[in-house]
Order: sequence, then C-alpha cells, then structure tokens
Amino acid sequence: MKESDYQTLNQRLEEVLAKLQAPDVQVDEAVQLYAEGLTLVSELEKHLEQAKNKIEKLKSASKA
Amino acid sequence: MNPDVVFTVSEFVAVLNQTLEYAYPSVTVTGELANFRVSKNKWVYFDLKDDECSVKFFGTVYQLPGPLEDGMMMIVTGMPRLHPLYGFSVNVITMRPVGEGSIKKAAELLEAKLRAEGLFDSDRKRPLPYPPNHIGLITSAESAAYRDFIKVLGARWGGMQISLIDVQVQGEAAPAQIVEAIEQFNAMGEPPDVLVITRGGGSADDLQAFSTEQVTRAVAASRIPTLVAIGHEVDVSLAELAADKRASTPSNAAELLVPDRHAVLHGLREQRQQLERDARSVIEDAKSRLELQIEDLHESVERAVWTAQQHLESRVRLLAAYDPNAALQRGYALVRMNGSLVHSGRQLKQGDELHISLSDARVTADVKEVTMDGGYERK
Repeated sequence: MKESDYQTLNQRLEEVLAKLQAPDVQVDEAVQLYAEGLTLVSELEKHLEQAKNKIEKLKSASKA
Repeated sequence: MNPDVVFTVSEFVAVLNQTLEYAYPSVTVTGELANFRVSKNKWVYFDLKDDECSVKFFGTVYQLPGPLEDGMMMIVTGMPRLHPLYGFSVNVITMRPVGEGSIKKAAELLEAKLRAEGLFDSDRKRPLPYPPNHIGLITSAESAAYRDFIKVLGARWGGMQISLIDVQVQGEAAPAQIVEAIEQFNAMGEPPDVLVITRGGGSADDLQAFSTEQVTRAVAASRIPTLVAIGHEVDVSLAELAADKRASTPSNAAELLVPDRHAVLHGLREQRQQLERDARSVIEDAKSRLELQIEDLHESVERAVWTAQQHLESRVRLLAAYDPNAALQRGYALVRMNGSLVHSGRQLKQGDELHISLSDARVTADVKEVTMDGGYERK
C-alpha cells in the first residue's frame, strides 16, 4: 500500500463518512465503506502516534 | 657759599637742578595723596602730604598704577626738580599705593573701572582645554608655588609639555615681567593651549602685581585661555577676575587643569563593568524570550496533534454509528438471492433459495410463502 500523508487519508475518511451517511447508500457498499473507514482510522492513528513520538524526540534533543 | 657770587634767576635754577640731580638722582617719598588731578588725559598733578608738610608731584597717566583718589597712601619714586616757571616738584618715575587700606581702595577703584569696561564679563570666559597638551606657565621658578603645581600636575596626569617663563611675582619689576611673559607666549608660532599664571599666598603688598591694571589687561587680552591662581584667603586679585578660570592655590590650579588619572581609570573600569552588565542582560533577555518561544513552539505543535486527534475521535464515533454488524447484533439480517440483496417481497416466489447473513452465521433457506401485507409486524 502506498504511503499517504495525513491530509489525504483524512480527506478520504471524510468522503467515506459522507457516502455512508447518504440516504440511498446500499448495504453492501456501506459494509465496504465501513471496512475502508476502519482501515483509514488505524492509519491516521498510526500517523498521529508517530508525530507525537517525533515531537518528543525533537524536544529532548533541543534540551540536550 | 660765597656771598660774592650772584646768580641770575635762570643760572640759579640750573645750578639748583644740577645740585639736586647730583645729590638725589631719585627720591622715594611716601605720603597721603591730595589735590590729585589729570589734565588733558595725559598730565597728572598731585601732592603728597603728612601732618605738617606738602610736596608737589608731576607725572603722566602712563605712570599711574590705576585710578586713584585723594586720601590714599602712596609711595612714589621720582626726580626732584625746580621748574623754571612752575617751581618745585618731583617728576614721577613710578608710583603705587601703599598700606593695606590704600591698596584695597586702589584695587576697588580699578576693579570698578575695568568691570565697567567689561573685562570681567562672564560671557568673555572661554573653556580651558581638558586636559591641555601644552601648558604655558608663568611663575617664579624658585617658588613653592612652582614646585606644588608641577608636583600635583605630575601626580594627576602625564605626557604634557610645560613651558616656563620665570618671572618675579612681587616687587616693582613683577607687573612688567608678567605682562611680557603673557605677550611672549601669545606671540609664539605654536603657542601653548593654556596659560597658567600662579604664585603662593602673601600679604596684600606681595600680591599687588596681580591687581595692577597692566597685568589685568594683559590677562584679559590673552588669545590663549588663562588660568590664574593666586594663593590667598580673602580678596580675589583683578587678574583672577579677568582670567578665563581661577583657582585658589597653585595645587588647585593643577587639579582644575587635568583630570586625576586614577579617577579616570576607575571611571573607565566602572564603564566597562556597566557595559558587561548591559551586554549580559541583553543576552539574558534574548534567552528568556527564546525559551518562551520554544515553549510556544512545543505547545503549538502539540495542540495541532491534539486537535487532529480530537477530530479523528469524533470521526471514529461517527463511523461506529454506521457499523453494519451492530445492526445484525440487534437482530436485523441481510437477505440475498443470487448474490443481490432482497429489498421487496415482490422479488420472491415460493421455492426461491435465499442466503441470510446474521451477525455470527450464514444461513441458506427456501421461501415457503410470500404475503404482501405491507411488511414487518404491521398487522
């Protein structure tokens, strides 16, 4: 899977949610969208975790 | 005298004058001034008298020590003469007031005259160079004043050129020598940048040279700025009033003329310390500003991450609301036929094979009956 940045992933999640919320969404599609949404969320969480770690590392490097 | 010798009047006057000239080439007489008058701004007539006698004197304004008034005690040197027409008088060579009272009175009269001319005006005063490079010194080389001045000067500051013109600072010759020294310094191709005229303390008589009109005028006329320091306790001499600056003693003159190198060094050290303190505080300020900026930076990036996280959590909650499995867990089921979802009873007939998805299983079933009654438990 291609590495995407946070913004692209986030944008895709918003699209997924918008489609899920559409009144005429079909159940099959909804299941697929839901599964994609979960994947996107875990990707985004990973990004945030990495960002936090990087900040901590930079902070301790600047204090040293 | 031979009673047989008879002179004509003219012969008698000539013989008497020869005799006087031989016996008394000059006489010095002291007495109280009386009938003092100046004629045509040039000729001066007066008497000197005591309780019993009075003698006539004649001179010119050039011999006057300054303005005079009847009643002053004078000491006059002159040549006794018998004038062919006007009778006996003493022709003045020099004259000056004598005794503290008269000297003071003469000084007061002269001071009033010179003050009226503007010689003492404060707007004539020029600043002295500080410190000077070249000092023109007018004093007696043998005096304590000279030694004190040089000693204090050397203790305070160094590297200056000092030119001395040795003069008498009291007595008849003093005023002319002082005036000549002032003029000599002023006439130099590269004159000193300050003139110091000084002597130690003394009686009113001793200090008289510094209150004479000629010295006072020479000081006032000097193109080189002047510092006059006469050691005394009460009265100020006229030369001091005319000077650009005056000092109370020769040592004080040196103190006014140059800074104390120790004080200067101390001041410089203080300035250096102040500079160091200033520089340090600038650095400290910058450092604390930078620390605040670093904190801001940390907070900003952490806030950005936090905001993203909050947003993501809200999205997770929203997504959870659309979890299809949650519906199945509540008892709903998905019904498919030939791979497609069944949305309506009209799609079905008896015997069709259905694939039903539950939350935890898949079921295959056959249709037994279709009742088109509007739907779920609506009876």
